Amino acid sequence: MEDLEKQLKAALGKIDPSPGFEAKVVSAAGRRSEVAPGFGLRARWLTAIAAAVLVVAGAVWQQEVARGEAAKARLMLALKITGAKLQEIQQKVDHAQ
Amino acid sequence: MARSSSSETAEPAGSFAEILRRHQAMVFSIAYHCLRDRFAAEEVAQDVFLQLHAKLGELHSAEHVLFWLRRTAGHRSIDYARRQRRNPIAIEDAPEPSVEAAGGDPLLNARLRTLVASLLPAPRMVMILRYQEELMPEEIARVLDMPVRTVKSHLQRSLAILREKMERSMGEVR
Amino acid sequence: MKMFLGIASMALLPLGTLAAQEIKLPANLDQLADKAENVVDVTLDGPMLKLAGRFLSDKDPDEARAKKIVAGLKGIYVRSFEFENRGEYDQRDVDQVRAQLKAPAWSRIVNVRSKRDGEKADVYVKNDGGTIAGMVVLVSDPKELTIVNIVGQIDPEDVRELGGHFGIPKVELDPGHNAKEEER
Repeated sequence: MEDLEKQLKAALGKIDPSPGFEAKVVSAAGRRSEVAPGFGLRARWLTAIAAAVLVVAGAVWQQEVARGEAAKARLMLALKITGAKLQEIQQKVDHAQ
Repeated sequence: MARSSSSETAEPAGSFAEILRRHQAMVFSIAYHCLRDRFAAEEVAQDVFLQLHAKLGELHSAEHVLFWLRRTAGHRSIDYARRQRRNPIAIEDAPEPSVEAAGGDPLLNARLRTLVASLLPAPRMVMILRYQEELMPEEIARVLDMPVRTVKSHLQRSLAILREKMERSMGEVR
Repeated sequence: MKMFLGIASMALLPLGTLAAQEIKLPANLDQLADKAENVVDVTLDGPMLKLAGRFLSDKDPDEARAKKIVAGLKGIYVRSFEFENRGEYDQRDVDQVRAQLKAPAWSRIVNVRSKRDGEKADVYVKNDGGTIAGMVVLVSDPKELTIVNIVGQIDPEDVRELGGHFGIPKVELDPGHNAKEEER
Protein backbone atom coordinates (compact mmCIF):
# COMPACT_ATOMS: atom_id res chain seq x y z
CA MET A 1 0.00 0.00 0.00
CA GLU A 2 1.45 3.37 -0.95
CA ASP A 3 2.41 5.94 1.69
CA LEU A 4 -0.61 8.17 1.13
CA GLU A 5 -2.94 5.24 1.69
CA LYS A 6 -1.13 4.33 4.92
CA GLN A 7 -1.42 7.92 6.04
CA LEU A 8 -5.12 7.92 5.21
CA LYS A 9 -5.63 4.77 7.30
CA ALA A 10 -3.95 6.51 10.22
CA ALA A 11 -5.86 9.76 9.73
CA LEU A 12 -9.25 8.09 9.35
CA GLY A 13 -8.95 5.80 12.34
CA LYS A 14 -11.90 5.31 14.63
CA ILE A 15 -12.64 8.01 17.19
CA ASP A 16 -14.83 7.61 20.26
CA PRO A 17 -17.90 9.79 20.69
CA SER A 18 -18.22 11.89 23.85
CA PRO A 19 -18.31 9.95 27.15
CA GLY A 20 -22.04 10.45 27.68
CA PHE A 21 -23.05 9.31 24.20
CA GLU A 22 -23.88 5.72 25.10
CA ALA A 23 -26.06 6.69 28.04
CA LYS A 24 -27.80 9.33 25.94
CA VAL A 25 -28.66 6.82 23.22
CA VAL A 26 -29.88 4.20 25.71
CA SER A 27 -32.05 6.80 27.39
CA ALA A 28 -33.49 7.99 24.06
CA ALA A 29 -34.15 4.39 23.02
CA GLY A 30 -35.94 3.81 26.31
CA ARG A 31 -38.09 6.90 25.86
CA ARG A 32 -39.04 5.77 22.35
CA SER A 33 -40.15 2.43 23.77
CA GLU A 34 -42.56 4.09 26.20
CA VAL A 35 -46.26 3.92 25.53
CA ALA A 36 -47.59 7.03 23.73
CA PRO A 37 -48.80 9.88 25.95
CA GLY A 38 -52.51 9.74 26.77
CA PHE A 39 -52.40 6.22 28.22
CA GLY A 40 -51.43 7.61 31.57
CA LEU A 41 -50.07 6.25 34.83
CA ARG A 42 -51.24 2.64 34.42
CA ALA A 43 -49.36 2.24 31.17
CA ARG A 44 -46.18 3.64 32.74
CA TRP A 45 -46.45 1.18 35.63
CA LEU A 46 -46.93 -1.68 33.18
CA THR A 47 -43.85 -0.54 31.29
CA ALA A 48 -41.84 -0.40 34.51
CA ILE A 49 -43.01 -3.88 35.50
CA ALA A 50 -42.20 -5.22 32.04
CA ALA A 51 -38.71 -3.68 32.31
CA ALA A 52 -38.22 -5.29 35.74
CA VAL A 53 -39.35 -8.67 34.37
CA LEU A 54 -36.85 -8.29 31.52
CA VAL A 55 -34.03 -7.52 33.97
CA VAL A 56 -34.89 -10.57 36.06
CA ALA A 57 -35.27 -12.73 32.95
CA GLY A 58 -31.88 -11.47 31.81
CA ALA A 59 -30.30 -12.48 35.12
CA VAL A 60 -32.01 -15.88 34.98
CA TRP A 61 -30.80 -16.32 31.41
CA GLN A 62 -27.23 -15.54 32.45
CA GLN A 63 -27.47 -18.18 35.18
CA GLU A 64 -28.85 -20.64 32.62
CA VAL A 65 -25.91 -19.93 30.33
CA ALA A 66 -23.46 -20.50 33.19
CA ARG A 67 -25.17 -23.81 34.09
CA GLY A 68 -25.24 -24.88 30.47
CA GLU A 69 -21.56 -24.16 29.91
CA ALA A 70 -20.68 -26.03 33.10
CA ALA A 71 -22.79 -29.02 32.03
CA LYS A 72 -21.12 -28.99 28.62
CA ALA A 73 -17.66 -28.99 30.21
CA ARG A 74 -18.58 -31.96 32.41
CA LEU A 75 -20.03 -33.81 29.43
CA MET A 76 -16.86 -33.31 27.37
CA LEU A 77 -14.76 -34.52 30.32
CA ALA A 78 -16.94 -37.61 30.73
CA LEU A 79 -16.68 -38.44 27.03
CA LYS A 80 -12.93 -37.84 27.05
CA ILE A 81 -12.43 -40.22 29.95
CA THR A 82 -14.68 -42.83 28.35
CA GLY A 83 -12.78 -42.57 25.08
CA ALA A 84 -9.44 -42.85 26.84
CA LYS A 85 -10.51 -45.95 28.75
CA LEU A 86 -11.87 -47.59 25.60
CA GLN A 87 -8.55 -46.87 23.92
CA GLU A 88 -6.69 -48.48 26.82
CA ILE A 89 -8.91 -51.52 26.62
CA GLN A 90 -8.48 -51.79 22.87
CA GLN A 91 -4.71 -51.71 23.32
CA LYS A 92 -4.90 -54.45 25.94
CA VAL A 93 -7.05 -56.55 23.57
CA ASP A 94 -4.58 -55.93 20.75
CA HIS A 95 -1.63 -57.04 22.85
CA ALA A 96 -3.25 -60.10 24.38
CA GLN A 97 -1.86 -63.38 22.98
CA MET B 1 -26.66 -6.64 0.43
CA ALA B 2 -25.15 -8.55 3.34
CA ARG B 3 -23.66 -11.92 2.51
CA SER B 4 -26.02 -14.63 3.60
CA SER B 5 -24.72 -16.98 6.24
CA SER B 6 -26.12 -20.19 7.66
CA SER B 7 -28.18 -19.54 10.77
CA GLU B 8 -26.41 -22.52 12.31
CA THR B 9 -22.96 -20.91 12.01
CA ALA B 10 -23.59 -17.10 12.09
CA GLU B 11 -22.71 -15.21 15.26
CA PRO B 12 -25.91 -13.90 16.88
CA ALA B 13 -26.74 -10.20 16.59
CA GLY B 14 -26.51 -9.54 20.33
CA SER B 15 -28.43 -7.11 22.52
CA PHE B 16 -28.90 -3.45 21.66
CA ALA B 17 -26.57 -2.39 24.48
CA GLU B 18 -23.85 -4.79 23.31
CA ILE B 19 -24.15 -3.59 19.72
CA LEU B 20 -24.07 0.05 20.81
CA ARG B 21 -20.97 -0.50 22.94
CA ARG B 22 -19.20 -2.47 20.23
CA HIS B 23 -19.96 -0.20 17.28
CA GLN B 24 -20.48 3.33 18.59
CA ALA B 25 -16.93 4.38 17.64
CA MET B 26 -17.35 2.99 14.15
CA VAL B 27 -20.68 4.75 13.50
CA PHE B 28 -19.57 8.01 15.09
CA SER B 29 -16.32 8.00 13.13
CA ILE B 30 -18.05 7.43 9.80
CA ALA B 31 -20.24 10.46 10.53
CA TYR B 32 -17.42 12.56 11.98
CA HIS B 33 -14.96 12.01 9.13
CA CYS B 34 -17.75 12.88 6.73
CA LEU B 35 -19.13 15.93 8.53
CA ARG B 36 -16.14 17.18 10.51
CA ASP B 37 -18.55 18.37 13.16
CA ARG B 38 -18.62 16.44 16.43
CA PHE B 39 -22.06 17.65 17.40
CA ALA B 40 -23.54 16.77 14.01
CA ALA B 41 -21.74 13.42 13.99
CA GLU B 42 -23.22 12.48 17.37
CA GLU B 43 -26.64 13.54 16.17
CA VAL B 44 -26.32 11.31 13.09
CA ALA B 45 -24.88 8.46 15.14
CA GLN B 46 -27.71 8.66 17.66
CA ASP B 47 -30.30 8.60 14.87
CA VAL B 48 -28.61 5.55 13.38
CA PHE B 49 -28.70 3.68 16.68
CA LEU B 50 -32.31 4.65 17.41
CA GLN B 51 -33.25 3.33 14.00
CA LEU B 52 -31.31 0.16 14.78
CA HIS B 53 -33.22 -0.16 18.05
CA ALA B 54 -36.49 -0.18 16.12
CA LYS B 55 -35.24 -2.68 13.55
CA LEU B 56 -33.18 -5.02 15.73
CA GLY B 57 -35.69 -7.85 15.46
CA GLU B 58 -35.16 -7.95 11.70
CA LEU B 59 -31.36 -8.31 11.91
CA HIS B 60 -30.34 -11.92 12.31
CA SER B 61 -26.59 -11.98 12.78
CA ALA B 62 -23.64 -9.88 13.91
CA GLU B 63 -22.53 -9.63 10.28
CA HIS B 64 -25.95 -8.36 9.22
CA VAL B 65 -25.91 -5.74 12.01
CA LEU B 66 -22.46 -4.52 10.97
CA PHE B 67 -23.51 -4.23 7.33
CA TRP B 68 -26.70 -2.41 8.30
CA LEU B 69 -24.87 0.04 10.56
CA ARG B 70 -22.28 0.91 7.93
CA ARG B 71 -24.95 1.34 5.28
CA THR B 72 -27.24 3.48 7.43
CA ALA B 73 -24.42 5.60 8.87
CA GLY B 74 -23.00 6.07 5.39
CA HIS B 75 -26.27 7.15 3.80
CA ARG B 76 -27.31 9.36 6.73
CA SER B 77 -23.94 11.08 6.75
CA ILE B 78 -24.05 11.69 3.00
CA ASP B 79 -27.56 13.18 3.30
CA TYR B 80 -26.46 15.42 6.19
CA ALA B 81 -23.32 16.45 4.26
CA ARG B 82 -25.42 17.44 1.25
CA ARG B 83 -27.60 19.59 3.50
CA GLN B 84 -24.41 21.01 5.04
CA ARG B 85 -23.17 22.02 1.58
CA ARG B 86 -26.23 24.19 1.24
CA ASN B 87 -25.26 25.81 4.59
CA PRO B 88 -21.52 25.43 4.58
CA ILE B 89 -19.25 25.78 7.57
CA ALA B 90 -15.61 26.47 6.90
CA ILE B 91 -13.92 23.06 6.89
CA GLU B 92 -10.69 24.64 8.13
CA ASP B 93 -12.56 25.95 11.17
CA ALA B 94 -13.98 22.54 12.14
CA PRO B 95 -12.58 21.58 15.54
CA GLU B 96 -10.31 18.57 15.74
CA PRO B 97 -11.47 15.64 17.88
CA SER B 98 -10.20 15.81 21.44
CA VAL B 99 -8.98 12.20 21.21
CA GLU B 100 -6.52 11.72 18.40
CA ALA B 101 -6.90 8.52 16.36
CA ALA B 102 -3.94 6.20 16.99
CA GLY B 103 -0.88 6.32 14.72
CA GLY B 104 0.78 8.84 12.42
CA ASP B 105 1.77 12.47 12.54
CA PRO B 106 -1.06 14.43 14.21
CA LEU B 107 -0.61 17.46 11.95
CA LEU B 108 -0.57 15.30 8.85
CA ASN B 109 -3.62 13.38 10.11
CA ALA B 110 -5.51 16.61 10.69
CA ARG B 111 -4.60 17.90 7.22
CA LEU B 112 -5.71 14.64 5.57
CA ARG B 113 -9.01 14.64 7.43
CA THR B 114 -9.65 18.19 6.29
CA LEU B 115 -8.87 17.27 2.70
CA VAL B 116 -11.09 14.17 2.78
CA ALA B 117 -13.92 16.30 4.13
CA SER B 118 -13.47 18.70 1.21
CA LEU B 119 -14.39 15.97 -1.29
CA LEU B 120 -17.95 15.70 -2.54
CA PRO B 121 -20.16 13.66 -0.17
CA ALA B 122 -20.31 10.41 -2.15
CA PRO B 123 -16.57 10.06 -2.89
CA ARG B 124 -15.88 11.28 0.66
CA MET B 125 -17.88 8.37 2.05
CA VAL B 126 -16.17 5.94 -0.33
CA MET B 127 -12.80 7.07 1.06
CA ILE B 128 -14.03 6.73 4.66
CA LEU B 129 -15.31 3.21 4.11
CA ARG B 130 -12.08 2.26 2.34
CA TYR B 131 -9.63 3.67 4.87
CA GLN B 132 -11.53 3.68 8.16
CA GLU B 133 -13.41 0.43 7.68
CA GLU B 134 -10.87 -1.16 5.30
CA LEU B 135 -13.62 -2.40 3.01
CA MET B 136 -12.85 -3.61 -0.48
CA PRO B 137 -14.45 -1.73 -3.40
CA GLU B 138 -17.00 -4.52 -3.88
CA GLU B 139 -18.10 -4.26 -0.24
CA ILE B 140 -18.28 -0.46 -0.46
CA ALA B 141 -20.46 -0.83 -3.56
CA ARG B 142 -22.89 -3.05 -1.62
CA VAL B 143 -22.98 -0.72 1.39
CA LEU B 144 -23.62 2.42 -0.67
CA ASP B 145 -25.75 0.85 -3.43
CA MET B 146 -23.25 2.04 -5.99
CA PRO B 147 -21.73 0.29 -9.01
CA VAL B 148 -18.28 -1.13 -8.30
CA ARG B 149 -16.71 0.80 -11.16
CA THR B 150 -18.10 4.04 -9.67
CA VAL B 151 -16.51 3.16 -6.32
CA LYS B 152 -13.16 2.47 -7.98
CA SER B 153 -13.41 5.67 -9.97
CA HIS B 154 -14.14 7.69 -6.79
CA LEU B 155 -11.15 6.07 -5.06
CA GLN B 156 -8.79 6.73 -7.92
CA ARG B 157 -9.84 10.34 -8.43
CA SER B 158 -10.00 11.14 -4.72
CA LEU B 159 -6.48 9.78 -4.14
CA ALA B 160 -5.24 11.87 -7.05
CA ILE B 161 -6.92 15.01 -5.66
CA LEU B 162 -5.55 14.40 -2.18
CA ARG B 163 -2.07 13.70 -3.49
CA GLU B 164 -2.07 16.91 -5.49
CA LYS B 165 -3.32 19.02 -2.57
CA MET B 166 -0.86 17.41 -0.16
CA GLU B 167 2.01 18.09 -2.55
CA ARG B 168 0.98 21.71 -2.80
CA SER B 169 0.70 22.16 0.96
CA MET B 170 3.38 19.87 2.33
CA GLY B 171 5.77 18.83 -0.41
CA GLU B 172 5.90 15.59 -2.37
CA VAL B 173 3.77 12.73 -1.18
CA ARG B 174 4.33 9.25 -2.58
CA MET C 1 -11.76 -51.59 17.43
CA LYS C 2 -13.27 -53.64 14.56
CA MET C 3 -13.00 -56.87 16.62
CA PHE C 4 -14.40 -55.00 19.63
CA LEU C 5 -17.49 -53.95 17.70
CA GLY C 6 -17.83 -57.35 16.02
CA ILE C 7 -18.29 -58.88 19.44
CA ALA C 8 -20.74 -56.13 20.39
CA SER C 9 -22.90 -56.89 17.33
CA MET C 10 -22.95 -60.63 18.09
CA ALA C 11 -24.13 -59.88 21.61
CA LEU C 12 -27.27 -58.10 20.41
CA LEU C 13 -29.83 -60.94 20.38
CA PRO C 14 -33.46 -59.88 20.01
CA LEU C 15 -34.62 -60.49 23.57
CA GLY C 16 -37.26 -57.78 23.66
CA THR C 17 -37.47 -54.54 25.56
CA LEU C 18 -36.34 -54.70 29.18
CA ALA C 19 -37.05 -52.27 31.97
CA ALA C 20 -34.26 -49.73 32.57
CA GLN C 21 -31.93 -50.65 35.40
CA GLU C 22 -29.84 -48.24 37.40
CA ILE C 23 -26.37 -49.45 38.30
CA LYS C 24 -25.96 -48.91 42.01
CA LEU C 25 -22.53 -48.14 43.35
CA PRO C 26 -21.77 -49.77 46.70
CA ALA C 27 -21.49 -47.23 49.50
CA ASN C 28 -17.77 -48.03 49.93
CA LEU C 29 -17.03 -46.98 46.38
CA ASP C 30 -18.84 -43.70 46.90
CA GLN C 31 -16.60 -43.01 49.87
CA LEU C 32 -13.39 -43.59 47.95
CA ALA C 33 -13.17 -39.90 47.07
CA ASP C 34 -11.80 -39.19 50.54
CA LYS C 35 -8.91 -41.62 50.06
CA ALA C 36 -8.10 -40.88 46.41
CA GLU C 37 -5.33 -38.58 45.23
CA ASN C 38 -7.34 -37.57 42.14
CA VAL C 39 -11.05 -37.91 41.64
CA VAL C 40 -13.32 -37.35 38.67
CA ASP C 41 -17.00 -37.48 39.50
CA VAL C 42 -19.41 -36.64 36.72
CA THR C 43 -23.15 -37.18 36.96
CA LEU C 44 -25.22 -36.03 34.02
CA ASP C 45 -28.83 -37.18 34.00
CA GLY C 46 -31.43 -36.54 31.29
CA PRO C 47 -32.18 -32.85 31.96
CA MET C 48 -28.50 -31.99 32.43
CA LEU C 49 -27.58 -33.83 29.22
CA LYS C 50 -30.24 -31.86 27.35
CA LEU C 51 -28.94 -28.62 28.84
CA ALA C 52 -25.35 -29.48 27.91
CA GLY C 53 -26.48 -30.49 24.43
CA ARG C 54 -27.96 -27.02 23.82
CA PHE C 55 -24.55 -25.46 24.37
CA LEU C 56 -22.61 -27.81 22.09
CA SER C 57 -21.43 -26.09 18.95
CA ASP C 58 -21.83 -27.57 15.47
CA LYS C 59 -18.76 -25.59 14.45
CA ASP C 60 -16.35 -27.46 16.74
CA PRO C 61 -15.75 -31.03 15.45
CA ASP C 62 -15.45 -32.60 18.94
CA GLU C 63 -18.57 -30.83 20.19
CA ALA C 64 -20.49 -31.78 17.06
CA ARG C 65 -19.58 -35.43 17.69
CA ALA C 66 -20.56 -35.12 21.33
CA LYS C 67 -23.91 -33.67 20.25
CA LYS C 68 -24.55 -36.71 18.07
CA ILE C 69 -23.58 -39.12 20.85
CA VAL C 70 -25.73 -37.56 23.56
CA ALA C 71 -28.81 -37.28 21.33
CA GLY C 72 -30.08 -40.70 22.44
CA LEU C 73 -28.65 -40.79 25.94
CA LYS C 74 -30.48 -40.60 29.25
CA GLY C 75 -27.44 -40.31 31.50
CA ILE C 76 -23.67 -40.44 31.77
CA TYR C 77 -22.03 -41.28 35.07
CA VAL C 78 -18.27 -41.37 35.55
CA ARG C 79 -16.38 -42.17 38.71
CA SER C 80 -12.63 -42.27 38.40
CA PHE C 81 -10.21 -42.55 41.30
CA GLU C 82 -6.42 -42.49 41.36
CA PHE C 83 -4.70 -43.58 44.56
CA GLU C 84 -1.22 -42.98 45.84
CA ASN C 85 -0.87 -46.47 47.25
CA ARG C 86 -1.97 -49.96 46.27
CA GLY C 87 -4.87 -51.61 48.04
CA GLU C 88 -6.84 -48.43 48.81
CA TYR C 89 -10.04 -49.94 47.47
CA ASP C 90 -11.61 -53.37 47.80
CA GLN C 91 -11.97 -55.37 44.60
CA ARG C 92 -15.04 -56.99 46.14
CA ASP C 93 -16.86 -53.63 45.90
CA VAL C 94 -16.09 -53.55 42.20
CA ASP C 95 -17.37 -57.12 41.91
CA GLN C 96 -20.67 -55.91 43.37
CA VAL C 97 -20.98 -53.62 40.35
CA ARG C 98 -20.17 -56.51 37.99
CA ALA C 99 -22.80 -58.62 39.73
CA GLN C 100 -25.48 -56.18 38.54
CA LEU C 101 -24.44 -56.55 34.92
CA LYS C 102 -25.78 -60.04 34.29
CA ALA C 103 -27.37 -61.71 31.34
CA PRO C 104 -29.85 -61.59 29.72
CA ALA C 105 -30.09 -57.80 30.04
CA TRP C 106 -26.34 -57.27 29.89
CA SER C 107 -23.63 -58.82 27.78
CA ARG C 108 -19.95 -58.61 28.57
CA ILE C 109 -18.24 -57.95 25.28
CA VAL C 110 -14.71 -57.43 26.51
CA ASN C 111 -12.98 -59.05 29.43
CA VAL C 112 -9.25 -58.40 29.79
CA ARG C 113 -7.10 -59.48 32.71
CA SER C 114 -3.44 -59.11 33.42
CA LYS C 115 -2.29 -61.05 36.45
CA ARG C 116 1.19 -59.56 36.22
CA ASP C 117 -0.03 -55.96 36.43
CA GLY C 118 -3.21 -56.64 38.38
CA GLU C 119 -5.23 -54.94 35.66
CA LYS C 120 -8.82 -55.74 34.86
CA ALA C 121 -10.97 -54.22 32.15
CA ASP C 122 -14.55 -55.04 31.20
CA VAL C 123 -17.00 -53.57 28.78
CA TYR C 124 -20.67 -54.46 29.13
CA VAL C 125 -23.48 -53.47 26.81
CA LYS C 126 -27.17 -53.52 27.57
CA ASN C 127 -29.40 -55.18 25.04
CA ASP C 128 -32.76 -53.63 24.17
CA GLY C 129 -34.54 -55.18 21.20
CA GLY C 130 -31.45 -55.39 19.02
CA THR C 131 -29.99 -52.01 19.92
CA ILE C 132 -27.47 -51.01 22.56
CA ALA C 133 -29.36 -49.28 25.36
CA GLY C 134 -26.44 -48.73 27.68
CA MET C 135 -22.78 -49.39 28.26
CA VAL C 136 -20.64 -49.88 31.34
CA VAL C 137 -16.86 -49.68 31.28
CA LEU C 138 -14.93 -50.94 34.29
CA VAL C 139 -11.17 -50.45 34.41
CA SER C 140 -9.13 -51.18 37.48
CA ASP C 141 -5.54 -51.63 38.47
CA PRO C 142 -4.00 -51.58 41.95
CA LYS C 143 -3.86 -47.77 42.04
CA GLU C 144 -6.73 -46.73 39.83
CA LEU C 145 -10.41 -47.44 39.41
CA THR C 146 -12.71 -46.08 36.71
CA ILE C 147 -16.38 -46.84 36.27
CA VAL C 148 -18.26 -45.36 33.35
CA ASN C 149 -21.99 -45.94 33.08
CA ILE C 150 -23.72 -44.71 29.92
CA VAL C 151 -27.51 -45.02 29.92
CA GLY C 152 -29.47 -44.79 26.70
CA GLN C 153 -29.19 -45.49 23.02
CA ILE C 154 -25.60 -45.46 21.84
CA ASP C 155 -24.46 -46.36 18.35
CA PRO C 156 -21.47 -48.68 18.11
CA GLU C 157 -19.98 -46.37 15.49
CA ASP C 158 -20.14 -43.55 18.00
CA VAL C 159 -18.37 -45.77 20.53
CA ARG C 160 -15.65 -46.25 17.95
CA GLU C 161 -15.54 -42.49 17.40
CA LEU C 162 -15.00 -41.92 21.11
CA GLY C 163 -11.68 -43.66 20.76
CA GLY C 164 -10.58 -41.43 17.89
CA HIS C 165 -11.45 -37.93 19.04
CA PHE C 166 -11.68 -35.66 22.01
CA GLY C 167 -7.90 -35.19 21.77
CA ILE C 168 -7.17 -38.93 21.98
CA PRO C 169 -5.09 -40.40 19.13
CA LYS C 170 -6.87 -43.19 17.30
CA VAL C 171 -5.31 -46.64 17.64
CA GLU C 172 -5.45 -48.51 14.34
CA LEU C 173 -6.39 -52.16 14.63
CA ASP C 174 -4.19 -54.73 12.92
CA PRO C 175 -6.79 -56.40 10.61
CA GLY C 176 -5.25 -59.86 11.02
CA HIS C 177 -5.19 -59.84 14.80
CA ASN C 178 -7.44 -62.03 16.94
CA ALA C 179 -7.99 -60.89 20.49
CA LYS C 180 -7.71 -63.66 23.04
CA GLU C 181 -9.90 -63.43 26.14
CA GLU C 182 -8.76 -64.89 29.44
CA GLU C 183 -11.40 -66.11 31.81
CA ARG C 184 -11.09 -65.08 35.44
